[in-house]
Amino acid sequence: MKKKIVIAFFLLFLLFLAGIVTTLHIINKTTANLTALLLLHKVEVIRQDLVINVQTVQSNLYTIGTTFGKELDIIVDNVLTLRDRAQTCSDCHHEQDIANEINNLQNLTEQYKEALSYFITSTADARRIKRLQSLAADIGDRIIGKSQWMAMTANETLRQKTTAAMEEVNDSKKILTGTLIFAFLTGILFSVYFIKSITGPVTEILGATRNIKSGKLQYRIEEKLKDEFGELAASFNEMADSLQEQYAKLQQTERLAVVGELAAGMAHEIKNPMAGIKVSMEVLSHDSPLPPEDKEVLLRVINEIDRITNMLKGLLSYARPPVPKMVSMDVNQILEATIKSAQYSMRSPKYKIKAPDMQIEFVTDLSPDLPHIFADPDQLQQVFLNLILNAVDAIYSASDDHGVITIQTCHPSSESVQVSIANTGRGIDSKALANIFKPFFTTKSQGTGLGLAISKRLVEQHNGSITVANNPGDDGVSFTLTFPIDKAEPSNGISSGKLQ
Amino acid sequence: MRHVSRSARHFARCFIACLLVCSVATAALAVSASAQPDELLIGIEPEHNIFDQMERYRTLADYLSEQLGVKVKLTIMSRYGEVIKRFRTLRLDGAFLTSYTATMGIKELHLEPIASPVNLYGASTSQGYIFVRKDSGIRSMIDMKGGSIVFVDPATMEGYLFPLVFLAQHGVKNINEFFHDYYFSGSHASAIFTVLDGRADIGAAKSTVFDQLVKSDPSIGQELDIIAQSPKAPEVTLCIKSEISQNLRERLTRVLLHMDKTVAGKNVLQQFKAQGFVKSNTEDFAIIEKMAQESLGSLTVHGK
Repeated sequence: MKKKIVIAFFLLFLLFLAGIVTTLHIINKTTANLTALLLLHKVEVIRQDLVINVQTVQSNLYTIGTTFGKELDIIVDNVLTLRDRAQTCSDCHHEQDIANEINNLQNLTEQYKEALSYFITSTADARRIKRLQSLAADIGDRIIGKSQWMAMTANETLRQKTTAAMEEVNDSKKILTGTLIFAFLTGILFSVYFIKSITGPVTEILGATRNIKSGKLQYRIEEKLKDEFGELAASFNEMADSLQEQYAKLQQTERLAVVGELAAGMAHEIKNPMAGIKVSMEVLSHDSPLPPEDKEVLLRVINEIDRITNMLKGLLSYARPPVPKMVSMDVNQILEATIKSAQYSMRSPKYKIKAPDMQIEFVTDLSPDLPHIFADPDQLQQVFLNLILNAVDAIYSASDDHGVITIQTCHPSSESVQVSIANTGRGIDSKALANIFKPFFTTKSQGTGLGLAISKRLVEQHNGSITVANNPGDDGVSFTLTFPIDKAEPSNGISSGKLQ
Repeated sequence: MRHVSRSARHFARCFIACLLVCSVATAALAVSASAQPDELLIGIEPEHNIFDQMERYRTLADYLSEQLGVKVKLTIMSRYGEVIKRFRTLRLDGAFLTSYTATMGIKELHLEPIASPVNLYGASTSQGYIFVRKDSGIRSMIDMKGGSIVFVDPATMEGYLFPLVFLAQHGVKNINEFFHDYYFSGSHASAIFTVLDGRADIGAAKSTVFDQLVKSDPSIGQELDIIAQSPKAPEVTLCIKSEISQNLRERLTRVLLHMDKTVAGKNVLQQFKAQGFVKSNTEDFAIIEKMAQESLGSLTVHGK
């Protein structure tokens, strides 16, 4: 738009410049015409002067030596004035034929001068003097005749030039009016174009802001706006996306807060009675003389009570995660410790019962120069352990004898550290993948559906991210976690955190 | 009372003394004023085309006015001899005179020759030519008899006095009888053209005009034959009447003689068609007087 405005102003400037140049040209042309007309009028004045001068000299010529005659000095002045008048004609530019006539006139004037001088200074008999006088008078008459002819020519030229000048003045008026109208219309055209170009997009953007204001956060500017307005619309849409996302997060946070309150209340109200029931069941199972099959029922009750208690703990942990105690730490160390914990857990009867011959191999590929991250070691270990045990469960569900869990760390960029935990269990269908981090979603028969949801909450609490994807060939899944590095800690520095 | 009358007498004596001083001062101023006239009226003789001549001299007059602080006015004569009369009637203060009229002015009006212009060919003098057309067949005095002759003016040495002396020296006592027709053309150039046009058989004119015309049109020299030449005499001389103050005459002479030494003066000389001016003396005109005595018996203006 800025470019268009600059170009438009430049075009308008050129247009007005052309108008000014045209106007100046017309004024100059008209002035030149008027000057030419004035000159032609001046020619007429010169001619009249010339004729008067010749007539004066002719009069001097006929009266010289008589009582009516002028003094010779006056006659000389008259003749010189006549000569000057004749020479004035040469001061202007003339066409060749006119210039020739003027030269002839000047030659005649010179001849007249010569003849007059001859007549005035001669001393001879009356007949000869009379002849000299006639000679001079004839030349004078020829000068008058020629000047009359020139007057006629000048008058004809004057008439033609006046007509031509008037026509040119009329043409000039038309051109000037046309230029003004064209400039005015072009100005209006530009104005309309720019008003439309500006008000249209502004109205669209204004409407969009009103929609957002009224709560329609999903509203986007669909119209393809041009120039800077297009950029503004794209920016507006990005803002709306961000707003919508933030609003969703806010809603989620509020929801979690409610769930947290509920879970806390439930934990408080249910945990204690559950503890009482559990203790009572345990006393009964140990001390009462019940037959073994009844005692087994009691043990099952105790297990279910544990499951309820764990679920309450998980719910509480998801809704109101503990505040992390952040320290600079080495992810590799946490992973190694977690693998050991997982291997220890795998010795429990739960797994032995499922597949006694199961062999699960842990493959680690930990980057030796991994930078430290700033995180809570306990929460991170909780996340890793959850993912590894999920992998173990996945392998158990897919195979009876063998499985591999691959744990890798790397440093994909100067800003982050990446951890990957992959298993060789079954892949997960896409619908399940989309909901896998949602609370209470589980593919296990005995799962609470809170493990991965809690893990995600904890990772996000560390400004990290977690994603899941099926391995190629439907050979299990891989979880990828990314954490920002601790910028305050040199990448090869010693961890200031301690594993607890 | 006696004291008062003595004071009154003393006052009267002082008053009379003041009056005398004022009278003397006024008289001195009047003399001074007459010594420096407001205007100098200079006459010009019709040498060539009188209009062109007047233009040339006006340039010189303007320069002199500026240099002298006195307005120099010009007046042109229609005849050569007229200038002597004009000195008397028009109260001319001076004139640029040809040799013959200058000689008359010096003798009759006691004019003082001041300076003579040096023409573009470096000459301040001229001589008289008697010429005929080559195709006229005139070779000797016998051939001239019964023909027509054109003079310039009775008051010219080159155009009248010299031909008269020449004719007298060759035995012609009466031109009215010897020639069929004679008249005065008024100017030297006219006399030359009259012979060239065949309107006269014999002509007389001054050498400077003749040479100038031949230079501008060489065919003139090819068509005319010069059959006699006079001694040289000053061509034109500025003569001033003796009533003009000595101081002004000296200044005028100085300005003219130094014209060729200043840029402004050179510019005026260029338009005046002269190289400069040279000093003139009364003795320069002795030859003219001698010629006049020989042919006319005395200096006078003759003509038909």
